[in-house]
Amino acid sequence: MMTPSDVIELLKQNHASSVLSAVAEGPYPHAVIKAEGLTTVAAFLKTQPRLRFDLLRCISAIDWPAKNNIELAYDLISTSLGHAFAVKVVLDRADPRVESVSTVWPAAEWHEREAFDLMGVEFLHHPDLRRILMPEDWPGHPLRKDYQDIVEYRGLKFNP
Amino acid sequence: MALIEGIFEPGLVVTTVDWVLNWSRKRSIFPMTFGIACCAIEMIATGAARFDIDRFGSGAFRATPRQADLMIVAGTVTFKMAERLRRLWEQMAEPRYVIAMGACAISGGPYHLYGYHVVKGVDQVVPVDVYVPGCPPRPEALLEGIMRLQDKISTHTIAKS
Amino acid sequence: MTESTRFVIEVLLFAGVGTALGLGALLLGALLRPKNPGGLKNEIYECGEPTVGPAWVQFDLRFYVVALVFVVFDVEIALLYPWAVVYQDYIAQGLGAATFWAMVFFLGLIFIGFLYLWRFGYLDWVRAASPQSSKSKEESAHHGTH
Repeated sequence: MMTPSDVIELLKQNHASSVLSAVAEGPYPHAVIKAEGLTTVAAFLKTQPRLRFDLLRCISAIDWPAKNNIELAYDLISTSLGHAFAVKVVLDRADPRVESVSTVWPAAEWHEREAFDLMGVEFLHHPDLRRILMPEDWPGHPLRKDYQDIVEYRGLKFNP
Repeated sequence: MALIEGIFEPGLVVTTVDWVLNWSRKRSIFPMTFGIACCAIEMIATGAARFDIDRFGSGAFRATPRQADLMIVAGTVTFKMAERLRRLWEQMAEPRYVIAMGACAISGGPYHLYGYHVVKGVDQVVPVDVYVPGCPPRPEALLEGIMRLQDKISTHTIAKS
Repeated sequence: MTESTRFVIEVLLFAGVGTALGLGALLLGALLRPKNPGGLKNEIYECGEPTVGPAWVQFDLRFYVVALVFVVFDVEIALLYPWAVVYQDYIAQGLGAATFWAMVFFLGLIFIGFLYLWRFGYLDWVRAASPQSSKSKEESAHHGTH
């Protein structure tokens, strides 16, 4: 059972170049990782014998138009060792793209589809990246802060 | 239009035939299972023992639109689902009826203001005969909806109008 | 009116009323039901989705094997029936033992065929690909839980 600071320590020892910042205290201990090194860090977090984060609980996408970026937060749990941690990735809002972690955690497949559908984040090498909630030909990404409701979709009025 | 419809003036025989025809139709409305969201639970409860929709003759829920008379739209209709809903309604055989059950099917419900994925009311997709309000409506409310639908079926006539 | 004439009239009446009821119900339905064919109603039903691929699929060959096995054992049972009917008579004549062992011999031959089917996997619906692949699946399953 490792505390968040131990996890951060281990991360910094092995992947110091990828870790941009880390928060050990507070309600959401997490480490901010560089987008390029995400899959290597993910594989490390899953396979390292003292970490063994085998369950990806959730991928959340947060839209920051003021800071001009989109953050992705990966919530991880270790079912065998009993500790939890989170990893964040910061992406450019104009062209948000990051490597998919579905090869590491298969649960990521649908979470990444949702992030793509509602935020427009493109996941490279995703096995099946398509919309999950909105219809396939929907324009735009609804949960972005600058999303405008459309007026009509295929003859159905949006707001009668 | 049935072969016998629209030929005879209203009269004693025609009204009797009407009465028998409407009685048979309204006492055996076979619903199609179209539980989409939470209202489906209340629809299931209506089909279960305590509220028993079978005593109205509607206990035989048909999974296929070909054998169903009634589509109870129970739940939130998203844009993605609306296409399938329309296609299934088209595949039902006349006489067919639609009950919009619950606030979401009537007008979008709690998603009316900000629901980006919700069709605000299933009557934009299919013509609705009876609206049953509630979130979700109690089984008794759905049964009253069925009874209002029975009243509506009773007004049908084969006479020349 | 002779008895046989009366009988023939009864049967014809019975058949006639039965047919009339059935056809009458269909005729009534044809008169009274609405007819609005065509359009999107004739589309093939696929749970609301537009159809993908043809509806004609290749017949699963395992059903053929099941049918063959069934026919063999059904004939065996059919041959058991006459034997069972006359068995008591043969016991009364004192030939009970011979009758019994004759049938046991017959059933034994069929049973050898059954053992063949069982041993060579013709009774399994899902065939194991090979003993080796199932072993490797077991190993990988154990690996996941330390």
